[in-house]
Amino acid sequence: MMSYPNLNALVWQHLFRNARRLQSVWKSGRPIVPNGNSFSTEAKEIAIPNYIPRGPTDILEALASTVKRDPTAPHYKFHDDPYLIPASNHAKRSYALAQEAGRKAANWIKQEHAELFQHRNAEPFIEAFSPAEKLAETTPMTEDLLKKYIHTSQVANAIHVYGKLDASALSPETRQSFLEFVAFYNEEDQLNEDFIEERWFKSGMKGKDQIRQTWKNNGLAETVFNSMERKTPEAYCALICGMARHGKAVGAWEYYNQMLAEGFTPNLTTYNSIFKIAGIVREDAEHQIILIDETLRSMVHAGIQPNVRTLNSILESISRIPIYRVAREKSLQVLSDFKTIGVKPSLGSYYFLLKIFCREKGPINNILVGIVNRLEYEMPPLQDLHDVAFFAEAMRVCNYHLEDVQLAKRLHDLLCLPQNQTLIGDSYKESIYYRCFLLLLTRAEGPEALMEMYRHLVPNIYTPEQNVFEAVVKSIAECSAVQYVPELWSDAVYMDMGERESILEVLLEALASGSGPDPKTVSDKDDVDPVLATARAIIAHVDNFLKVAEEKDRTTSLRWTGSMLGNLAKVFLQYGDVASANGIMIKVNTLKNQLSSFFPVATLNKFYESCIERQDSAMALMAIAYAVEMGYDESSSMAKQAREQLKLDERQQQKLNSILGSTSTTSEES
Amino acid sequence: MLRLMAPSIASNVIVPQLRQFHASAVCCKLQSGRYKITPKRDRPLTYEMANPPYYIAHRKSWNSWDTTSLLDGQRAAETSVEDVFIHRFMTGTWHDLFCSEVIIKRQHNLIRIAGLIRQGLPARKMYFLIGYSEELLANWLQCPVKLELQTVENKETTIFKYI
Repeated sequence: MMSYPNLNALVWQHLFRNARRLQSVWKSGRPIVPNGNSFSTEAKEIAIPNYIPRGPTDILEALASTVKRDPTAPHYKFHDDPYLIPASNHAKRSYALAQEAGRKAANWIKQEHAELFQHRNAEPFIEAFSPAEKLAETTPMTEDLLKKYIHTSQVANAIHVYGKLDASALSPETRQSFLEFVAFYNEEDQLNEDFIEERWFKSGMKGKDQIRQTWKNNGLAETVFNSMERKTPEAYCALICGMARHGKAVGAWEYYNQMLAEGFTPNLTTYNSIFKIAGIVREDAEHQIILIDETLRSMVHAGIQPNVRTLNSILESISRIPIYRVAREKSLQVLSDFKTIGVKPSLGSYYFLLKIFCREKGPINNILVGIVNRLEYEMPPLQDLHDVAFFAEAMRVCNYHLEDVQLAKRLHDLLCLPQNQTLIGDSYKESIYYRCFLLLLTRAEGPEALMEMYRHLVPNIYTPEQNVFEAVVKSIAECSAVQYVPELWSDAVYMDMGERESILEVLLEALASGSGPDPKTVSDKDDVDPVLATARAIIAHVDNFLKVAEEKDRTTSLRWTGSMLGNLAKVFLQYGDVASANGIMIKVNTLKNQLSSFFPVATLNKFYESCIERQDSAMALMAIAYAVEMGYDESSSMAKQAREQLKLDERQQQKLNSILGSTSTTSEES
Repeated sequence: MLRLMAPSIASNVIVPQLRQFHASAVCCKLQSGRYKITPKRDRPLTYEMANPPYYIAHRKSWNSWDTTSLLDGQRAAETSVEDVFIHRFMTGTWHDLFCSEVIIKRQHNLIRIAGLIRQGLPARKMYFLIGYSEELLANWLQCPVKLELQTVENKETTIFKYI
């Protein structure tokens, strides 16, 4: 309680001081700003900045830009509870889609029992909460209903209503908007925009790269167009854009020519569509470029200012030209032309530039360095559908084309900016991006730097695929950075990869790549070295898995292999865990015919030497037995050593003889 | 006295019953939210159950958080009915999974529903139920609804004491 008066006094003092300063401002009638460094009497005019017009979402954007992706927490779409946090890629996908399936089920119930959802709680009422009206026989078909369906993009319903109405009685505007609507959606209902997960996991890249023809030939759009007595330029434009969008290039081209012949001027979107299909209507590169130039010229005549999408459409066409030199020259020329008329390229333009310049098996081109330089200076806003493809493609180029890890890191820093989070695209592009990034790091970085980035990305931002994880482990093994292997093993278990043979193989290889315990560090007796503990955990995990699989009659591809057991034995010998090493030897002897690879000779020798050291004849005999069975050359020298250095009793002598069989008896006689 | 006189009066006359004036002590029994001790002392209680209502705001807090009881608070009746609906919906949809009370928190037009659930379903099915409950309740109450669930291994982990 004592501190309150003091605090109050401080606050009052502060206020009073400020008030005095304010008073002086009022008195002079002119704002006085004290100099930052000293309280001199020099006064400066405050320059009031000009009013900046703000949009309705500017505050939201500013707030959003302060939120960064937290790598220590799962994505916000998942529930923040240990049981509900997904680890593997499969779990991430199925949990997100399961939640969406639940939402769909709820929506279905709302539709089925629409009569129960007629109450109006919300004020003002929100249309989305009420069930969609069903079309019944008794519903009066009006033009307004058609307009409403067009407005809310319900394609099937709109087509139904249009079918019932007398087309000639409709106003020209409605007919035009219906034509645009049908041509844009190609008479198909779209996936609801609310189902973001389904959109996210639908591989966006596949199929979109090549234009496939999905346009409905002689469909409703063409019927509507043909039924118009007077063909307006807008109607032509709608049809051409629709056809180009849905892969009917030849049809679009025909209508385009027809339109020009009638003396109409196409609009900007139509020109953009024509640029997009230029590569399809003209087979060879030369004619394609002529077509692009001609169309550009006609745009100039029509007085239409091209925009960034025009640029992207042209670059898209050029990126399909197979001849490297032609494509490169033309794209640079187009780019500089657009620069002179003040059209700045967007990320999509850069995406196509990368496709043009950095081709598989093409000469190496480091155009990406320039692009990243420019992006670091100024990031263009999202303007085109292809913008989101840039980062995945750029990282792919960094990995396979340039192999430049510094550039990749700069690119990643760009993506990590809060406002750029959305530019990653969809789940498919995201996985390409991170896969290329990690693969590049495994090749180019040392273990510390690699693990730092690995910890940042895995498992919340990205779950590595099997081959990427193997690459990480291999890179760790090459540097003998055995201290990271325990962490990688626990990650492998967490991400459901602990039962895969290839993963276990590389992990054990990495585990055995060390040089044993550091003699400098004095450890407690009860303190188990993490590497040793990992080796034991792997044995226990695999044995348990095999046991469960056997009990439940599950088929499993996982088997112990000789190299896996060899690496385990090596680790145990390094760390002086004799009991576990003996256990491995017994396992080798019982499984010897089932092992798919041989127990390595070097480890066998080491094990044998340790047996001799501690005078363990039983284990030594077991090692000799394995060596003889596998036909290792060392078996005879091992037997000799056994006779000389081990104290063998009568039975063991006999056993040794029986193991060695005829080969050793001959050597004994000689 | 009246009853004694009754037979002498005509049979179709209804005699008023006399009520005796009750003069015993007031029964100040408070029962709700309290649990009886069993002879074997084996009735499990959660923390919430172990604290009687007068500990609300001292040792435990409310199950519904809203502003209806403040000055000029609106929709008091509607809110209570909705809360009962939410409670029933949640315990029914998440059948035999809730290990705690359903906590309903309202902030602006947002309803957050919290609680402890048992890990009795695979995580995938839980996500289905999360999506389903959120969407259906949002459509019913016509405002955004969010679930904030925490899982526990089994119901026994929520036992605070036995009485």
